[in-house]
Amino acid sequence: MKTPITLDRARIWMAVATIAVIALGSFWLQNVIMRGDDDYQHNTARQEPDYYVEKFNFIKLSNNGKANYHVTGDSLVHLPRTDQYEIQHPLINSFDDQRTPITISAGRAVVEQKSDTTKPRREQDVVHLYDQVSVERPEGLNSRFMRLDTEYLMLMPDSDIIKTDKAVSLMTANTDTTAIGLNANNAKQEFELMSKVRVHIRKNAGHHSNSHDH
Amino acid sequence: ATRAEKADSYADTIIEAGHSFDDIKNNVAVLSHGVTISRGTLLIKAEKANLKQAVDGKQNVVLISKPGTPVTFRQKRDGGPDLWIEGQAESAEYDESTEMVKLISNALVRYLDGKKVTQEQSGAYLSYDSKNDVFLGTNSTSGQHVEGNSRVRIVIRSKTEKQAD
Repeated sequence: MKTPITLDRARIWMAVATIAVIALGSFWLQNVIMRGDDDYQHNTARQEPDYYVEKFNFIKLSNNGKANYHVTGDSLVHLPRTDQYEIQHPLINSFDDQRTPITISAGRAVVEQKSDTTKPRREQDVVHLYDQVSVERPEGLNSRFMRLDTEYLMLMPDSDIIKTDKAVSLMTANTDTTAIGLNANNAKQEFELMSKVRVHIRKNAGHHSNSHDH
Repeated sequence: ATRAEKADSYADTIIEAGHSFDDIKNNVAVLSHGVTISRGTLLIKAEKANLKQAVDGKQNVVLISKPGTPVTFRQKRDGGPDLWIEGQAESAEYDESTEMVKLISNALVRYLDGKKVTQEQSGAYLSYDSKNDVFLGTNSTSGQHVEGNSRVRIVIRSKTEKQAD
């Protein structure tokens, strides 16, 4: 005989089902949290990258919503142990309507983003560039052509500073300069060369007088 | 004729220094830790140099010496295979548009034929126009003649006939 589902019984079953769902839910949630921890423990010990992106386009917006800097590259790999990103063949355009657009390219970049969890704490984004690094600024309304080449360069986009302790070579419309070590602040338009500075000022650069073609 | 090596005016300029700081906004650069500026046969040496680029791109350079090592300059002169002019002072100023070298305080300039000094002039202030080879010596560091100062202002012209330009 089929027991009739009376209203009470249905309500009881509903209650039981609800309790079951809650129980299951919390069990599932707890599990995820636990596993999450596992993952984290697993991650920090983990050497190899935990995710990577290919052919990407990374745009960092500043608080006023304008693009602060914009990075593209062949591949981006996240290294969990050091919380860094490694980018192959990065191309960085640092542009902001108040300042001059600068294009930076390199063989490899390692990006360390501002972070409170890393030890030591990272005050601001730092980008390390390696292998045939080049920085180019176009001839513009309020900017003169400049091209810089070096093997290593450190960028701090938030404070608009670039730095290296390696050899640099620098070309402008009428000068060729080489030195060891550089500290440039694009916001303040200050440019410091640390040692062994050699500046070659070409006499007839610009106006092409045919008498002196060298 | 004792004109400065004409080709120098058309030569590139090479500047070497131990350190440089460029204030791009104000077109001012400070070179330090030993500076040499060469341009054709003109060679200038100093401890420090303040470069200011004029709007037309021409450089004005103020050269500062280290105690005990004066600022020096040397340049070949036309009119002979081995004619030179040498100068030194506590500070100097070189202006690219006028090609004038001003030597200020304990200034000394020598004209040489090879190693032999043919003329020499010392004073508080000496200026040498390397384009037109006009040499001016005065008895005050301002470059003006000051009455009552012991030194006498002398303008020296070379003895040999000037070549027609």
